[in-house]
Amino acid sequence: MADDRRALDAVYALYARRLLAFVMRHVAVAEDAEEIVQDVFIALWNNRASIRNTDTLQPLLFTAARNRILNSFRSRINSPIYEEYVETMADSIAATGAPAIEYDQFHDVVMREIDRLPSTQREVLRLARLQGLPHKEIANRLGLSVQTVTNALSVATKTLRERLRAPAMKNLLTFFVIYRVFLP
Amino acid sequence: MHDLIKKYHAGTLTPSDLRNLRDLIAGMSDEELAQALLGSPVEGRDITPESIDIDAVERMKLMIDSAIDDNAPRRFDWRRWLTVAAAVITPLLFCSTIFLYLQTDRASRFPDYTLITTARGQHTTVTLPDGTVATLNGESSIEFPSRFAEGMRTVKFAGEAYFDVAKADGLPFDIVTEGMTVEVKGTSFNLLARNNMPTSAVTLESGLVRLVATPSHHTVNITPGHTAILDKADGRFRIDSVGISGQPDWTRREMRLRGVTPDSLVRRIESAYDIALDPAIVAAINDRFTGTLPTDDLFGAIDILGAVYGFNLPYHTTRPYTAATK
Repeated sequence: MADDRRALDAVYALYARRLLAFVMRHVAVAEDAEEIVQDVFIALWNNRASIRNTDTLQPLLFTAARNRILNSFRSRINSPIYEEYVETMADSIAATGAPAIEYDQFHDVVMREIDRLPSTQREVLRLARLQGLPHKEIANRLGLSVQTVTNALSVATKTLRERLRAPAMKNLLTFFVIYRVFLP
Repeated sequence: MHDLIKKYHAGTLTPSDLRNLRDLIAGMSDEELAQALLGSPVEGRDITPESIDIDAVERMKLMIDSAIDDNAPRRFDWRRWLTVAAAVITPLLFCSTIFLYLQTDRASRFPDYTLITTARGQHTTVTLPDGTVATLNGESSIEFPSRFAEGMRTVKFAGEAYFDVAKADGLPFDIVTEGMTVEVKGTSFNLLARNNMPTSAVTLESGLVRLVATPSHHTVNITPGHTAILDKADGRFRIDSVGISGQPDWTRREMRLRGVTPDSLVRRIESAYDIALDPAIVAAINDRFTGTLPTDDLFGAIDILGAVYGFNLPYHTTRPYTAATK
């Protein structure tokens, strides 16, 4: 156990920089890149029992990192929140050639706004948009009728969209811009 | 594709760009996507392992260490312990459930039966669990459960009885006898169905009954005032009109006889009282008999016969019978 831990530290010292450099060439946001490298080493630790030949460690680590880059790209492109981000940023991109805030911050704002929704709308929205469950399945899980699920979802989506595009949100976006410009 | 990925990295995808990108990657294999994505690195970044900030390396190591320590096994693993406990308890519960189920099932599949039998010359009245009253003539037996099963009332019967079947909302009342089944809807009738006799008869006082011969399945419905006689040899019914006379004679402790031959009269009396008549009396009966005789008063019956056929029997000196036949 302690030996395993020392081995991991050695492997980390040897490959962490190289892996992060590789990932950062393909992932624009530094935090996302670091998360991918962390995941690779945690997976390595969890699967250490099945690793026999340490000579193959380097291709294994880089393949794992590559797969995580692809997965994160695919899931972000298909994410409904990312779609909302692209639509919300369309104006500022048209005006200034750059998004007002980065996706990570937008994601946090959306999550905060979802938390402010009434509980039924919140649950329905999470299951439908973030987990992609069909309405019927959601109705079964929450003990609601399919019609109620459909209604709650449409109200929640409308509320969320209004809040994200409301003047208050514009102010928030402005705040982020100022934050990023003056307090780097 | 290259342009779209460049815009993705810069965060400047337009809604229509995003739609195009989605369509493109939906049709790509992992290998194709890897070529496209890794072939378009983030622009304006010249990153080498040496240029990586030491802070980032240490920050990631801290996160990895805390994630690994969270997953370290605890000394006493409640989940493991519960799994073992469940593995032991589940089969026990399973077996006891099956055992109890079979117990219950057996009890309901084999309910207690009551068998009531009368001897020759005996009468008895039985009230069944559903309120049906059966008056049994001599040498008869009825078998019924202590509780009728859901949706059915079935009894087994042999001999002669007068049934007054309780009405029960369309629930049939079936009497199974040798050679036929009587299906009743709530009615009163006399049933004569003795084992080892060539015929059985049902005389209906009120209501409606259906008779089904077994195994021929010949079926008849009878209406009040009619008697259905089953010939067990060919399993077919014959219907006779008898006129409505209320309950049969035997239930009133008398027999009404009309033009019966001497032989038949002697047999009827001997059967009713379970005796053999004194030969002197048998000899005195020399003509057909019409009249009513009690079936529970032998000396009274002999008195009537004495008056009709002109013999006198000194009660205190001679008994009217020689011996019980059975």
